[in-house]
Order: sequence, then structure tokens, then C-alpha cells
Amino acid sequence: MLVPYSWLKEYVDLQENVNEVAELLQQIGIPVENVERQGPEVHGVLTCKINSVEPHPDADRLRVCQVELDKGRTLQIVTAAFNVRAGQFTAVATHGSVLADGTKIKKSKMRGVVSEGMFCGADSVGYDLSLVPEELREGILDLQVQLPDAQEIPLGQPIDEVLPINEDVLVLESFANRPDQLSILGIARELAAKLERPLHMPPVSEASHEQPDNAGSVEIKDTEACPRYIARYIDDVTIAPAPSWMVRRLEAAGMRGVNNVVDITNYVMLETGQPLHAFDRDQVARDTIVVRRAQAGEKLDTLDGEQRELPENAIVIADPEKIIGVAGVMGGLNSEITENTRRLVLESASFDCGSVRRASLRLGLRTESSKRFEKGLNIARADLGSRRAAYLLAKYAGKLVPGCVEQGIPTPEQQKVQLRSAKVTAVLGVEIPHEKTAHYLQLLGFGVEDNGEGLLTVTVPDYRQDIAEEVDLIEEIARFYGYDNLPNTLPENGHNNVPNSDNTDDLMRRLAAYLGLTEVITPSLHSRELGEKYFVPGETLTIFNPLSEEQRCLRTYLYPALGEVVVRNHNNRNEDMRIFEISRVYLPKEDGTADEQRHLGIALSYAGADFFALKGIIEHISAIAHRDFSFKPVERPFLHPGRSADIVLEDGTVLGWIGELHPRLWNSLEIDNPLIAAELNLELMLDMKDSAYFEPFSTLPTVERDLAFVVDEKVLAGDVVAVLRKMGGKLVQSVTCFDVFRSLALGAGKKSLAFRMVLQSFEATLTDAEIQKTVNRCIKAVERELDGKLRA
Amino acid sequence: MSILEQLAQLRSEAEAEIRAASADKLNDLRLKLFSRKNGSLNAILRGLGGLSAEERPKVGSLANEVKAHLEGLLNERLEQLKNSVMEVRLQSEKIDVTMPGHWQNPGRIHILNQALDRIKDTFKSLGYSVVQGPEVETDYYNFEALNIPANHPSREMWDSFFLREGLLMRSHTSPMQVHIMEKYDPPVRVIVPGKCYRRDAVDSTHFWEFHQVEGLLVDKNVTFSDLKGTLDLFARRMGGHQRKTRFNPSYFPFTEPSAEVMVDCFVCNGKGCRVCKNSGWIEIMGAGMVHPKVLKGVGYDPERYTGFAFGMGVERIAMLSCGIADIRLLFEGDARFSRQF
Repeated sequence: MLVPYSWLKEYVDLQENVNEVAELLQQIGIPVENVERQGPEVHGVLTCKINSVEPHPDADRLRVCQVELDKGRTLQIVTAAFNVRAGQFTAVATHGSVLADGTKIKKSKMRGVVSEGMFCGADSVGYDLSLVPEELREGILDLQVQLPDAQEIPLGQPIDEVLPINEDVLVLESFANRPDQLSILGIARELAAKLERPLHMPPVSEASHEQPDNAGSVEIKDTEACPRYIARYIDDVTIAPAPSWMVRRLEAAGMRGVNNVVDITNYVMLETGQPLHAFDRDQVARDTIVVRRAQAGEKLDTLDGEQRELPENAIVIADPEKIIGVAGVMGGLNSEITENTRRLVLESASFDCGSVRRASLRLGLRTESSKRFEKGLNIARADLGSRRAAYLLAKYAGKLVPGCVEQGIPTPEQQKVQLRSAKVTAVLGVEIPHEKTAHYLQLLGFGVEDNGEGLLTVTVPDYRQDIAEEVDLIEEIARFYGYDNLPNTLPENGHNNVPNSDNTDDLMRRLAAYLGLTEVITPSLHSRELGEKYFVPGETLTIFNPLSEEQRCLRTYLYPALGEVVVRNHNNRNEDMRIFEISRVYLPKEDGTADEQRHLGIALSYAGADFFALKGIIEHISAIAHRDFSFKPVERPFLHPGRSADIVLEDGTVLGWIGELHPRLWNSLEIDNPLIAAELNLELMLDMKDSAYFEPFSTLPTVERDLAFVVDEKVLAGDVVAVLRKMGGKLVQSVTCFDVFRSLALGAGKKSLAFRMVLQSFEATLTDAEIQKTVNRCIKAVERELDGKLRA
Repeated sequence: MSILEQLAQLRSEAEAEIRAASADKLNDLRLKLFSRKNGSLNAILRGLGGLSAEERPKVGSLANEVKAHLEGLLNERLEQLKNSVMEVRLQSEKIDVTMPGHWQNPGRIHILNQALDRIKDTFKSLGYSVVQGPEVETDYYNFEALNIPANHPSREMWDSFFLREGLLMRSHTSPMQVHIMEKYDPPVRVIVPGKCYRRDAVDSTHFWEFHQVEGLLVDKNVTFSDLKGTLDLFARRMGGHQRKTRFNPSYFPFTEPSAEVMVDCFVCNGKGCRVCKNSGWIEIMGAGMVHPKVLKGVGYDPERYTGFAFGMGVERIAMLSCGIADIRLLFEGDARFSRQF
């Protein structure tokens, strides 16, 4: 909300400058986004009084004036202005001053006579020329003319503090629970309480609640939708521009001047927080206003010129024949105030906040009015707005018909909340004297009744619907005691019933970084296109209200986003990419919810990157995790069918996968280097840190035996290792494949695989015979099970 | 030539030979001089038999002296030769130590997780547990249980991505307050780091995914002053002992009283700069006393227990402390960015 500082000053006496006020507002919890200066900057131009006007000795057109400022300061000014006279109050640009257009004024000599500055006309200080009588526009300012109501014009004051030349505007945020702070009076009330100064209420019409003779009628069909409706009537209306001070304020507050009637309703809304609407009474059929719910399919041309289909159940203002407004949102064109309007109905009402909010959301139409109604305005507040607008309309637009038509439910009793001193201390941690508590609340307009024994009964004023219980009052007390005046203490050390979640992802993150991988964090949501581009198998959960298509799917794999990181970097000539991410994937469950699993995704892409580079990293992880990973060839749609594997745990659980991207996918990425990726499901590795358990080791000598077998191409090194391990039994410490060899001599479709077995016993040094026995058993098994022939 | 003369001649000839000998000749020379069978020295000493009893010891002792002298020279020469060989080797093996090392780019942990680690360490040292919670959340936990009823205007503070009616991507980590309190009896003290989602248009300070750290402490006798003290301590642990905090009243439906926590600008130390928009203060989190309605909702007795909660944005903290002006850099994985942290 934009709060012009001069407007705020009308309700509370402020000597402080606008930045000091901004600071005070922050302290009581009214966030100040910014302080803006609107209009031109003028420096060093001061109000002054011309004491004497003498002719210039050497120039007929010039006059020499003696000028009075404040504190006995005087200046001599030489001027050619036609309207200069002794006794005149005007503005003088002193030595070193800066005018609205940026001109700097210096002391000078005019035809031999010193002039210590220059008198200013309206345009040189940026004052609105239209506010100056036409015959004076060429002359210097005459402040008695411009400020006819001023009792006394202070001397030596900056001109922009005396004339409305520029405006400091407080840009405030407001909280969803404080509709009262969407009004200048509401802000003034808080400030007045903070400064312990009186709040000056603006004048309102004292017109009675009696129903006037020539009143129209108001029918509320649903008092839940509209608990209060006040109609006032203005006759003999003349549509004209609103007074310029009002238009200026509206513009400073971000609204546009339209005409006196519309501007007054807007002005009162900004001032009191109560939205109002004026209908052309002659356009209301049978002079009857009906408040009801919209039926399906009803339409209205709203004031912004759009035809809108109204949501069913939206509250509408109608007459017996047609709808004339969407309650609390926007009026209809059919009853708009035009230059032909002669009679008005002024609406001030209370509407159900939820209904206004829903209607505004469905219509996609958020107005100054709906913003206020949707936060909940007390039904008692309608009266103030109605009377204030009636006062202004009577003054600036037409003749007020005494009395009003008021319909709805009775005003509920003001809410009472019990407040215990002990609870104040318990929540805030500091004892605030009883009297102080009561004082703060009274400053804010709460009624306070002391029941003794530390108990207050507090009556909540109608503009504070946010206060519902004791703790809300405690916040009020804390706000005005000052958060920064509360001490900083620490809670007593206590027991904690919550255990830590596992930290596998932290351990993995450090390990991956240690292995030379750089962590990335990528979005969890992605577009359908990304899924298709990366051949992502299976279904994903989807978002039904994304802002853009790139937020449509919840990812089920990490590799597409890692691939995109590689591609982006490739396009920026970063061609050595070794990255990882630890993040969740969201697997759809049958009930439509997500199975969230933490994955470790790795991608390598650099010249020479291959499957085994990444496999080495995975094996390193397996070693640190004390788990025995095995690699089973498997086909996945996004991986090269001959260069990919599942990563399998001891018990057969598939932990993840590893592989080179499918060439078809890789081609579409248009990168130069291969891309190898892997994903591990960390949920399956939760116990990794607990699984290390000491095993005694043998101190006896080890024996190495190298064996090479000729096998079919389809036989995997891992198959042979498995057979050798099994047949070697307890004696086998390790088996490693260290060579692959193919040649014509071996025959087509054959290869030679060489293995190094390390044997060791726990009991005694192995004899040649024992070794030979074991090795022979292994050789026979490889022959038998894999049709492998030992190479001589 | 007398034996003495022969010895003197041997001595001077051998001296010259030793000085000139190369490494591989040195051993031959040793044999040629001292070999029992045909060494030059022994050849001379064979003539001892023809000497008188008085001369013999003189000659003998001279011969020993010559032998010791020459052996000394031989060893000296050997040492000298070894040294010069080493010298040559050292010269030939000299490298240019200013050439680049064999180096693989080290791996790095993302700046967000580095910042998060510091946050976690700080709260762990104060006895908080670190827990995680679901990102796909129900309307109940994300809103209702936090005193944000349907159609309440404050819902606009959290514009959320929905999977379907009632199921959404959590728009803050606060739902975990409710999960924690439902699962555990007081006292509880936890922090909950995690990803959150909001339908924010992307710009230099907004991304639709971001990370928060939620904090919750509920026990007997916990006060708003305790909240202030805890977060002040946190700010000083994170930003240095000299940091100051400031608390402004704020609004969150699930805390009352609520506060916005500011820290004096760590770029300009409060003097006013571009980062703090000349205010000298930077907002770092929201906080407040857990609303009695939230406590009641999870079955805690608000007359017996009070507590505080707070929530901070990890991106904001990392960006401010590292001078990162655009949030998008955090999610792009650009190597030129990553390698700086």
C-alpha cells in the first residue's frame, strides 16, 4: 500500500521526517518496502517575506528588495518580476540552491547591485501551474494567494514543505490478517499509539440512521453473504473533477482521478479501509437494490469494459431486472457514474470474505476493493465509510438526502478476550508490569477491565478482527514493548526426544567429492519434453497447475537433468564434466502419492570417458560402504545395450544402474564426448556405516597363480570369477581378471581371459600339492560349467 | 735400486695412477698394487729377505705406511668419483619445478550444501537433531494443521504446485513441525533442511524450487526471549562474533508472536550498501512462538508447553554470504560457477 506522508500527517501529529517514521513502523511490525519521493527535487528554496521594494539605481525594469527569512536572516534580492510588492510572501532560491529543472542558483551582481539569490515562480520550483491564477503565472509565487487558508506562513522553510511540490510516499507491505493496515487511518492509528499521540479522525456526516422519505429499497437475500448493507442517497449531483488536493493524494497513492464521485469513494476506501461503490440511482430498476448469489451462466459487463460470466454463488448486487455489480469486486457498466448522473446510491456494505475471494480468483479480477474485503472487514466498519463518503459527497458533489437505508444482521457484540499476566511472562520471558500491559492495549483502542489477580478482560475494537485469543494480545504487548527491548536468553538445556535422521546422503556427498566429482543441484520438476528426449521409462507424477511446462513432471530419474548440465556446459566449452547430484526422485504409488527416494546420480563426460572410469568410482563407493556390488548386464531404453549394467547387492537387490547413454540419445544431445551415467538408490544403503565388522586376517604367506582360459565371447569375466571363487573355497583371497585377448588362432567368437588368483590359508603354509589340487579343481569347473579351455 | 728407493718410486707412481684412474679402473689398480700374488707392493717386499735385521723393521714400517697412504688415496679417489657421478646424475635429473603438477580437478560440494552444513553444525552443537521430511505433502500438513484454513487469504503467502486437490509440493518446511510433534512427545528440538516449491516466476532472486531450514523447539518454560537469544547466537556463530540481530514483528499463521529476523549487513557492517538496500540490515528468516492452535492440534498442552519455530532460506544465506547475485546460477551446474566454491 502506498501511503503519501502528507496524508498520514493529517491524522497524527508528526514532527519526525519520513525515514524516522518508516523506522517506527518497522518496529511495530508494519514492513516498509521503500520510501519514494514523487515529484521534483528542490533544494535551498525557502519561504520569505519581502520587507521593502526599491528601484534599481541603474535599471528601470529591476527592483531591489530586502527580504526576511527566519531567525533574523535577511537577503537582498534584485528582481524583474512584475508582481513583486512589499509585504508579499514568496519563495527565494538562496545561494547554492537547486531548482526543479536542476538549475543551480548563485549569488550575483545585477547591473552593479548584489543579488543574494532569486525569487521563484511556480514552474521553477515544480509547483503545478494550474493551481496558480492565470494572471500570476508569469510572475513570482504569491504564497498568500496560493495558501488562502493559512493562518501564518512560516519563514525560512523549504518551499516543498509549504507547497505540495513533491511527496514522500511510504511503500508498505501488509499482512493477510491486518485489513485495517490497508488504510491510511489504520496506519495512523498504529503510529499514534506508538508515539502516544492523539489520532485525529476526519469529519463525517452526522446524518441519522432514519430511513428517508424518498429512499429506495434494499433487499438482502442471504445475510451470510452480506451481513450489512448501508445505502445513502445523494441528489442534485454535479459530476465534475474532484478537488485538486484529493486527486493529488489519490495519484500519490497510485490511483487515477476520474470524477468527484468516483474519486471520493476511492479516497474514503484508502482513508478508512472500507470499499464503497456509487451507482447511478436512475439506472437502478424500481429503485431497488438486491444482494444475492449469482446463478450459473449470469453475465455482467464490468466497469473495465469486459463481459464476464459470473461464477455461480458469487455475491452480486442487482436490481429486480439485472445485475449491476459483483459485490466487493467491481461495479457494472450499466449503472456507472457518467457525466449525466444526477442521483446516486452510495453503497457501503460488508460481504463474506471467502465469497469475495473466490469470486475475485475465478474472475481473475483483483481490485483494491476485493483485496480489502477478502481479508475480512468487520460489519460495524461499513458505517464509518458511509458517513465519511456522505460528508465528502455533500461537500463536493451534491445534496445529501438525510438518513439511510440499512439492512442486515445486528452488529455482533465486541469480542472479549481474557489476558493473564502470568501467561504474558511465560510467553515473552520477561515480566511486564500490569499497568504497562493495559496501557499498550488502551493506546491501540482495546477496552481493558482489570479483574485483579493478574487477569484483564480485554475488549477488541471492531477494526481488529485478527485478535481472537490471549496469545494475539501478547503479541500486541510485545510489539509495543518493543521486540528489541526483550532480552536475549537461551532455553534451558533439556532432553530431546527426536533422534537424528540417517546421514547417508551427507557421507555420500563427501565421498563423491573426494572421488573428484563436483556436486550439482538441479530442479526436481521437469517438462514432458525432457522426459521424452531422455527416453525416461515409466510414468511420472504430474503437477496440474504449473506456471510453465518445465514444471510439469516430478522426476523419477536424476540422469536427464545431469545430461542437461553436461549439454549446457558443452555449449559453454566446459568439456570435462564429472558431476554428481544427491536428490530425491518421486516414484508414483498406486494411490497417486509419491514414493520419495534419495538417489545418487553421477555423470562423466570428457574425452576418453568410458564405462570403466565410472565403474571404478562405483567400486570405490562399494569399498568404502563395505558392500559387495556386482554388475549384471541389463538393457534399459536410455542406455547402450552392450555397455550397461545393473548394480546389484549381495542379496540380489538392484541398487541402481550404470552405463553409457544409448547412442541414439547421445546423438540427440550433440555433444563431443561420451556420456556415462549411473544412479544408486541411497535408501538401500542406509546401513552402510554400520556394516564394518572386524574380521581376523591370516598372517601366513600368500600364493599367486595366473590362469588363462579360452572361452566363448558370451562368457563374462564375472562368470569365470564366480566359478573360481566358488571352487577355490576358503583359500581364495581374491580373483581378478587382468587381461582379455582375441586372435584368429583362438578361433572366431572366442576370447582368452586371464585371471590372477591369490590363495592363502588360515591354518598352515600351503604346500604345492594343496595348491595344485585347488587350481585343478578350478580349471575343471571352468571347463565343465563355462566350456573354457585352459591356455597352455 | 734399494728397496727403500723402490718403495718411494712405487709410492709416487701409484699416486699419479690413482689420481688419474677412472671408476672402473680403480679396482684393477687396487689389485695391481696390493694383490698378494702379484701386487707391486708384495713384489718389492719379497726383497726383504736380503736385508739386515736392522733395516728390515724400517723398511717394513715404511711399506706399511706406503700401503696405508695408497689405500687412503684409493678410497678418497673412489669417493671422489662416486660424488662426481652423483653430481652428473643430479644435474641430468634436474626438473623445472614451475611446470604444472599432474592434477585432476578436485570434486566440490555445492555451495548450498556447504552453507547448509554450517547451519546444521551450529544447531547440532546446540542439541538439535537433524531430520528430513516428505516433499510431496498433503494440504492438511502444509496448511490446515498450521492454522491456515482453506480460502484463508494468507494462503497467498504460499502459492503452491498441486498434484491434485489436497496433494501438493510442500511450499515450506513448516509441515514438518506437525509431523515431528505428532510422532514425538515434548521436549523436541530439531532442524529440518529440505527442498520447497512455490509458483514464483523466475528472476534473479526467485526460483520455483529452493531450500529451507526449519527449526522447532518445544519444551516447558520456552519463551520468546529464548527464541531471540537462540537466533542471535546462531547469527553470531554463522557470521562472526560481532554480528547483531534485530527482530521486527511479523505475521505467520502458525506462530504468535511472530518475528522477522534481521542481521546487520555483513557486507557494509551496517553502514548501508547496495546489498542491504542502504538499511544496514538484512532479513534472514522468519520466526515466532508456536501458535497454541498448532500445539493443540498435535495433542500438546499449550498450558504446559511452549515452543518456538523458525525458517530460513538457504539460497538467500549462501547468496548473501558469497556475493551471488542470481539464484539461477545455483541450479545450472555451470562449471565456471561450481569451481569457485
